[in-house]
Amino acid sequence: MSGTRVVVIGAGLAGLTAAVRLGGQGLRPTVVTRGLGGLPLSPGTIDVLGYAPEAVDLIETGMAAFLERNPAHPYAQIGLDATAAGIESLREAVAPIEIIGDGARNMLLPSMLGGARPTAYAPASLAAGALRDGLRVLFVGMQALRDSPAALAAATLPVAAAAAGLRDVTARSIDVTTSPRPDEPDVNPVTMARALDDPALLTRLAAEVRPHVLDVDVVAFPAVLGMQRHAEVLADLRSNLGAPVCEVASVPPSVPGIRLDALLRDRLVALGGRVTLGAAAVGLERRGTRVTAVDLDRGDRVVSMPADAVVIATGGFASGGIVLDSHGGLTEAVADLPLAGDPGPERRFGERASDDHPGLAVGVTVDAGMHPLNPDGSVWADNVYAAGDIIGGAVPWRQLCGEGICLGSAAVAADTLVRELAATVREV
Amino acid sequence: MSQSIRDSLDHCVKCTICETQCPVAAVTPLFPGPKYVGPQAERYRDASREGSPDDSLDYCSGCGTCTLVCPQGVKVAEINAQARAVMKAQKGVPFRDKLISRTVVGGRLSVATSPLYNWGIGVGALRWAAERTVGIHRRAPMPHAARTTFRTWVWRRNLTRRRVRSTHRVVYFHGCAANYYETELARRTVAVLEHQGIEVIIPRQECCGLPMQSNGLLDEARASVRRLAAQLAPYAREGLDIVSTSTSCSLMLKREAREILELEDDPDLRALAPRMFDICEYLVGLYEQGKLQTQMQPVPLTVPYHPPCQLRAHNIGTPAHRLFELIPELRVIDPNVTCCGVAGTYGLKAEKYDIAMAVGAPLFAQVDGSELACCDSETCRWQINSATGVETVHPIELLYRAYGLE
Ligand SMILES: Cc1cc2nc3c(=O)[nH]c(=O)nc-3n(C[C@H](O)[C@H](O)[C@H](O)COP(=O)(O)OP(=O)(O)OC[C@H]3O[C@@H](n4cnc5c(N)ncnc54)[C@H](O)[C@@H]3O)c2cc1C
Ligand code: SF4
Ligand code: SF4
Repeated sequence: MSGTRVVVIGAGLAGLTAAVRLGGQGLRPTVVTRGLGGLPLSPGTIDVLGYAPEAVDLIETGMAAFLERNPAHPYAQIGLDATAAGIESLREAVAPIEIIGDGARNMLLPSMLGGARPTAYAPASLAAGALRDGLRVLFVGMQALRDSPAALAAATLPVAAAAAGLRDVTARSIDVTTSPRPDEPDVNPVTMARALDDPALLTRLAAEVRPHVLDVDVVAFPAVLGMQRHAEVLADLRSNLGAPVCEVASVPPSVPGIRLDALLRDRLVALGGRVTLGAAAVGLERRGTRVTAVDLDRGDRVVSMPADAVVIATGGFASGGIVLDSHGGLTEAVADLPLAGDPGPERRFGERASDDHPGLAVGVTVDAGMHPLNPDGSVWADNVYAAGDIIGGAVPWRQLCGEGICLGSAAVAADTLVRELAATVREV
Repeated sequence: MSQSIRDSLDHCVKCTICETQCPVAAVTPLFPGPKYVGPQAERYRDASREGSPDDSLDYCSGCGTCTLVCPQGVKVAEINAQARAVMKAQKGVPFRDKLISRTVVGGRLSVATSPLYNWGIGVGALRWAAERTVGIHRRAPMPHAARTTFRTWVWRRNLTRRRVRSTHRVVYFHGCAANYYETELARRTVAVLEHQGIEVIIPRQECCGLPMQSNGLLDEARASVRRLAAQLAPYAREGLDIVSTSTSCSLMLKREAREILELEDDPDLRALAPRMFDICEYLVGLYEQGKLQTQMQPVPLTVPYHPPCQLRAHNIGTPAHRLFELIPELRVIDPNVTCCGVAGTYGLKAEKYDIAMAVGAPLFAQVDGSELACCDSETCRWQINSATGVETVHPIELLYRAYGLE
């Protein structure tokens, strides 16, 4: 099947995972995407189900109860086995970074505001901060990084941990001045992470922190501990401080997310896949029940890219996978796929900007093979699959379920695609 | 500012993705990054007022990475390019920038004096003097001038009438670099096209105006690209495709002249744009239609291939990879690096040379020690070659070998 042309639209966690999984099965997918996906903005954790809406501890039990109440949720089609399969693809692709978690239980990770945030899997640097009874945390704030309010985190965490049912979690904080750019009041986390790849700066940082490492179980840094040399930076810091070290995610840009994004894209290229950046898919060409090509808007012209199968992983509103026009109309951006969950003209805004909006759960409906469906339940096209946030029925920010959906749907979409493509090749 | 660029500005959600991918911001504190100098600073730029709110804009190399990675479709690099041009025009363009913008004059002079010029660019003392007087860095990559131009070859070719005639005709837009410096590439491109049984038409052609545009000489750039468009448009209207070996010049004709120089309505440019092809893009198109010669001999080499930022900005992916797959025994390494640093004329400038070298460092480390390297863009080839000493060729050169045309 090496001559087949598989196109994945979108380069978020869903698109990239689908692509590397296809690559792992001998296909050489082309990812076409308008821009990078949401991964560089995300905390780098793999949320499967955090709130249902009560905090979820045991994932399988929580999921069963949750799906009973939300039968139209994407997990009803995806299933936890698929999410576990997707996790394995991710683990393989980002191998230098170890992904901790067994998918059975959520861990609680401290946030930079001192919250206790449930997540199923996390890169080792973040997972090292998992909260437990009696944990003593030292938060390190960096004056050069505006979004590392360590004192606030230290004050809040014990309360948040207690509310989550943990006993005797305590926290202290210090603020350090180490900076690669002392003249800049506000250094970008990515700049900081790249700078800390330099052992000299790292040694300065360690020297500033070391005197404060007394009676602590973990030293919690903002998530800037190295970019290219992340593993070495962690190990150096650990041995230099003589204590376990963890990273705590903060607002974007997110270094843990950027590391995963870069590794996934590298892996795809290593597998013989390609990424075409800057091109937006604006149509699918159909012949009967199959799609034969993707129409790509390249800025200067629209071209037709032949395709034997297509994975749509264009994300939700945030990434332009679904667009809202000035008359309140909602459209799926690539092929005008049927959307479910449109609250209609009654759609209203909440009192506060952060309130839930019914439009956020709008998306395509899929079958168990991730084929987008028509309103009557029939398959929209035999060789089109959907993955990630474009699938409707979920509110990832509330439910903390985004990455699990991405990984699970990507795994199913890729595996169904490979199976069905093999079947059509045999028929021909 | 052109409407399509202007409109894209409001789509910025300040997500910072462009900030984290900009190769210049990654290596220097002098440049705050695309989001700041692009969609953010643009709101404070006002045609009625003098100057830019942020002079650091000058450190943007124009590599275009920010536009490519932006998930919201904001044309960050285009905003920067236009604002930088206006800023330079207002402040007065330095002599150095005028000098390196005049590729036609410079090219003619260097070819006319080629033995002297080629000797001069290798002499440390002269290069040192050039850095002190005009600000072109003493170690910046400078191409060797050809003894005779490609046009002279075309003229002789037309006299001898030794060329392929066919109903499948394409126009070759060679650009200035191939005319004055890399004439061999131009001749080999013609050979590779003729090998497909295609008749190659090589009309007279002006500079596309890009060097003038990026150095703030907007009126000159407009005049130049319009003359070029007028030379090529009749062929496009006739239904002929136009292929180019210069990634940045062909991008001018596809899109940039209309967007950045605000020539959206120029009828010649509009006629041209949909018929412009990067040479590898065109050959892959032929391949997909089953019209490419695939009889090739082995090229037993391991070659690092760097798809330059200027090619990526075409939004066509990396077509050369498809062609390389057809060449037996050729092993291509993808260094997976954003930019070589030079970004046209950026890396030649004394105050930016070190930044350009730092940007390219991860690429040079992977090219070092190779027998041959490959890259689509001329200034990038010169940069890679000057930084690593490794001969760096256009993908066409590998095809030329594979077809046994040597
Ligand atoms: C800032 C932020 C933080 C978040 N944090 C969390 C969190 O903590 N927990 C959680 O569970 N969820 C979170 N989410 C939700 C998040 O949307 C999903 O978890 C996940 O990122 C969705 O991934 P995806 O691959 O489906 O789509 P995305 O990552 O959104 O990627 C979509 C891709 O498609 C491309 N694209 C879109 N339209 C087109 C087109 N027409 N043609 C070509 N390409 C196109 C885009 O350029 C992009 O590359 C967050 C989202 C954002 C924006
Ligand atoms: S220009 Fe694009 S990538 Fe940059 S901050 Fe704005 S939306 Fe994000
Ligand atoms: S064009 Fe290149 S150098 Fe300029 S801001 Fe964008 S990414 Fe940075």
